[in-house]
Amino acid sequence: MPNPRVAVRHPHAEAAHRSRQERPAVRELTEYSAAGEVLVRSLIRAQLGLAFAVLALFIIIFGAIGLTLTTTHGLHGRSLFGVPLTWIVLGPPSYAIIAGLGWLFRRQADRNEQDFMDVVEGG
Amino acid sequence: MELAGIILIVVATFAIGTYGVRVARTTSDFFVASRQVGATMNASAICGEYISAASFLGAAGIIMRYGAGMLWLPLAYAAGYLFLLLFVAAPLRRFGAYTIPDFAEGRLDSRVNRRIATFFVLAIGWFYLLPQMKGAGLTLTVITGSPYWVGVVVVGTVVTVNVAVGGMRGITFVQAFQYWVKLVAISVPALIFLAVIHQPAQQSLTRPVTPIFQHDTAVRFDRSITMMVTETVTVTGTGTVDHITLDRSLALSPGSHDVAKGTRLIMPAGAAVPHLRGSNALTNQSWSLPNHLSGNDRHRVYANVSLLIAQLLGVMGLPHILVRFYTNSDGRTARRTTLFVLCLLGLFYSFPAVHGSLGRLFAPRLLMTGNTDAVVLVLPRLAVSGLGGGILAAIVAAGAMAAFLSTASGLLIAVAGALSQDLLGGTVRDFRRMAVIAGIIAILFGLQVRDIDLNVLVGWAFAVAASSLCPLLVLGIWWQHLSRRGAAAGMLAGGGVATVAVLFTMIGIRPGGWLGSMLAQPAAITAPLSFLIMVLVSKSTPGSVPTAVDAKMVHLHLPEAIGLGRNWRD
Repeated sequence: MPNPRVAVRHPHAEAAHRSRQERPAVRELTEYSAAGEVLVRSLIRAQLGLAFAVLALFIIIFGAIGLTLTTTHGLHGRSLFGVPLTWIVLGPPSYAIIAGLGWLFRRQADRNEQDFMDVVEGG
Repeated sequence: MELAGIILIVVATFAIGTYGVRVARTTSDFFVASRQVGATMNASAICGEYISAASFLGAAGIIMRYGAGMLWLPLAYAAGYLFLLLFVAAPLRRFGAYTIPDFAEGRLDSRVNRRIATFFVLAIGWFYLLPQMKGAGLTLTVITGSPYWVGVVVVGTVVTVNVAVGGMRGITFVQAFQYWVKLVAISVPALIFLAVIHQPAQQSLTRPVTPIFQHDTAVRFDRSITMMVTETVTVTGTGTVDHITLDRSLALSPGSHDVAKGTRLIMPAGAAVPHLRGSNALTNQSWSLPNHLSGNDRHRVYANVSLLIAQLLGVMGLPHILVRFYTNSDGRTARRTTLFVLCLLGLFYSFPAVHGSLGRLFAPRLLMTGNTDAVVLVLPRLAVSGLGGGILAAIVAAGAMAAFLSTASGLLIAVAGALSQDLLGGTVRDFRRMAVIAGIIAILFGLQVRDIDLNVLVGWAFAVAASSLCPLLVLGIWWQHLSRRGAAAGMLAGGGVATVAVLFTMIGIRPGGWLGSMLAQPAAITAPLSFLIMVLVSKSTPGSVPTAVDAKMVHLHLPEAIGLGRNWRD
């Protein structure tokens, strides 16, 4: 006689199963009611807006660096400790700027999601 | 000693791979318990897979040859991950698609789009394998003096067998280990050079002088070239120069001279270094400052800008990298991982500039043969004498080997996986068969690209990725009106033109001027083209927008904590 079958669910799916039954706001989201749709749209728009804002910062910062270096011929060939400034600017500081922009995006994107969650859980 | 370094890294890779297989069994236990690969480990693994021959060898080489303007190149290799973080990382993880073809099919409910995405996974994978093969051939040539093809065949075979046997399949730990090997191998020699090489020598790098040979230097030519001599120089050696067989010393007057393959010239100490015809002769001063590329060669500026665009957008379409994002536990962790990746890459890419600049002082003969991609490998023995130089040389050789092994394995897995999943039944036997076939194709193509700069080769893969899979992912994630027809048309137009352009350049159709530059670096045209066609065709075919698109957008963007389930199918 075969063993009785047991339904096995991934924990995420389990959470989904539970929340669909328990939390009305979540049900609204998954059933795409008008209110749910507005909420989801606003989250997507917020995240996309944030991504473009950080992208704009990236373009402005590195556009400015590039333009300055080219038009001044590498800051008039000045150097620091024997290393031309161009090589310093386009070295570690530039990588730090990129990581900084990433840090900024990550913090704000997580906050957008938290705000969204607060609305959903509160509703 | 370098050979010892290489063998050590291969053995370590196999050993960790075998050990990792045992860990993997418990990892799957973890997975059932919903644990995951930590963000630091996963970030190391992504960097391990990403830092390829082009980064490890090519970045320093191109900086040595062209100077400050090329500092943007490693910067763009890292910045591509910022774009990935902004537009792709978390939503892709949340969608739960394991591969890009899965994403194409799941997001658009379309087998056709899946097939097209698979085609581009293959194109990108093979183009990206070329620089790994070239790097391998070059490295073994430098270290053992073997012909170019030996390295390609040996490393190609090692990688193919390794992947086919399954030694490295999905083993995060091996890739993570390789990142740290590469970081040590590029940073430790650089820091030691900076410490032991005295200042006045370094300062000549900013003076308006051409690089000179510091000692009598033997230069071997493993291909025929035309070089430009700036000051009359008397050379000795064996072989053929200007169709004259060398038997005694020969005075080379300023102007161009043909050097036949196999020639060996002894350049006297103090002589100005001749340069390849077609490349600008740069004094150290103009090399150390930006903007020498502007002026009358605008199409070269275009080529560089196009390469940068390809790098920035292309990361969002690299199949072997994106697969790794699924191993994050959720969207937030995917973001955290990408942020770590930015930090780890910043650490690594700060160093190639050191190797590139010191190469002008200690290995100027590479400017003469055009073999600047070898600078990281030859520098240790030239800059540091005795045992220290030998040890450093072994370290960089191990790092270079780690670069080919990790990137080539990841790519071959992606290519063989796509082939076996979409063309055959997807069994393990199919995967193995396809890994062998894909590996052989990569080796055959790899033999053809010896004379092309590593970064040009990598640029091809990035250009195709930026013009096909990148638009699919970005619009698929953010724009609900993307239609099946729009996505298919955009990928085929942008990616297709990019692929054809690259193939033309590869088989040797390289017209001069604008057309040549556009064919060699198509991304600046084909990436916007792909986005544009996706949008225009989608707008005119609203009927082929998938029906459940709202549910899909919800799955892409809502945090997991809301409890929507594992992926879009739930």
